[in-house]
Amino acid sequence: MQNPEVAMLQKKELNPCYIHSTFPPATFLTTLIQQEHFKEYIANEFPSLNLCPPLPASTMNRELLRKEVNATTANALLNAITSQVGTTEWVSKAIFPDKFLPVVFNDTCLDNVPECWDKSRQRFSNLPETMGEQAIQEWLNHLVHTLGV
Amino acid sequence: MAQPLGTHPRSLIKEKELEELLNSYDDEDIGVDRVDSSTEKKGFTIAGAEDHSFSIVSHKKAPSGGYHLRKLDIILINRNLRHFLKDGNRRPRWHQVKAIVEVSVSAPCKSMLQQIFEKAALMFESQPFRWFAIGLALRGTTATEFSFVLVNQGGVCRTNWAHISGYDAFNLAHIVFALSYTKPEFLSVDTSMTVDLLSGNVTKIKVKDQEFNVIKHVYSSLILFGRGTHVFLVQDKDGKSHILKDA
Repeated sequence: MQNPEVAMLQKKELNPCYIHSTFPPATFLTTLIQQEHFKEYIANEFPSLNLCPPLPASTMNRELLRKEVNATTANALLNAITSQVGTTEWVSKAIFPDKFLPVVFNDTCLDNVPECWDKSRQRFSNLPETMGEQAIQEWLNHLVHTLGV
Repeated sequence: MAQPLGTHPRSLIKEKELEELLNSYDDEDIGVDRVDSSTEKKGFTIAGAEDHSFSIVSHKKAPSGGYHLRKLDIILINRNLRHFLKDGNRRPRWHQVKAIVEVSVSAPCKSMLQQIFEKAALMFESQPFRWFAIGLALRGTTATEFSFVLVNQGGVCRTNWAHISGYDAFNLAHIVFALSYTKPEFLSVDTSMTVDLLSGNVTKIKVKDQEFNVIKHVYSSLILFGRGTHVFLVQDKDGKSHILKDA
């Protein structure tokens, strides 16, 4: 005669609400910090740890979430106080000071190269009129190359 | 214009002729920069400088290795990589992008900055060794203007939109010069990390006097801003494992 409790459990198992989803096995990476306490677990889960094997990768698809979160953050940032505004001189003096450059950037170098700088109009002589990617790429590389010579 | 190799019977080519033949080839045929100006023909005179170049290689093909595909107008990459990619059949990877340049004739300023922020997020995700991302936005037609943008996990610093003329133009030249020739650490690369050049993976991390081998990059942040955006499982010289995170 079957135990009525067992019979009830078996009945419940057949009920879909008791059929749980199966997740991938958990990987407790933090156990590696305390190897002396988790020797067996580490030996089972990371048998060749010393060989630096690739550990199981996350199966979670975070692409869509990241895209949405970052787009929202970027939008919020445009009006946020975290966006601080400086001058172009601040960039030249504080971000890229001459001591960080292989040679000191000398304004007169540009001033004396007519193919780069129009002295009379005080502007670049060959700055593309259309902001096309190709034209700007060539102009930037030409400018850099000229300044590097 | 160079003659095709096939027009030279092998038996007639001597060393001198072959040298002339090779030197006569158009630059693009052998994958180097076309030299358009007399200044460029002189070559570099800065010894020991980094050599970066602006490239539109990702204008049509988005870089790989990011969490989603985003094309970039112009990117700053190593010059030799630019030559390697210039045939257009290959795409760069996000870990190779050193700075972002956005260009537009008429896009609103806000839209251009937003583009830079979103692409900076991709740089941070794929480049755990990067302290901040650098963006340069150029816009307009006759009255062109530019803005320099620095993005890191704490926020954004940028310049006002400045016209590309007069003193601001000199500053733009200074910025472009620095981007091209300054050392990686001044372009925000964390030198305490050793990075595999081919894969872009961080292989070693130095913390004070200790060096750790990276076993796995276990976490990369979901969002652009915040702390602990990258977490590594590492091993010290005695084989003990540790968790390292940026702060």
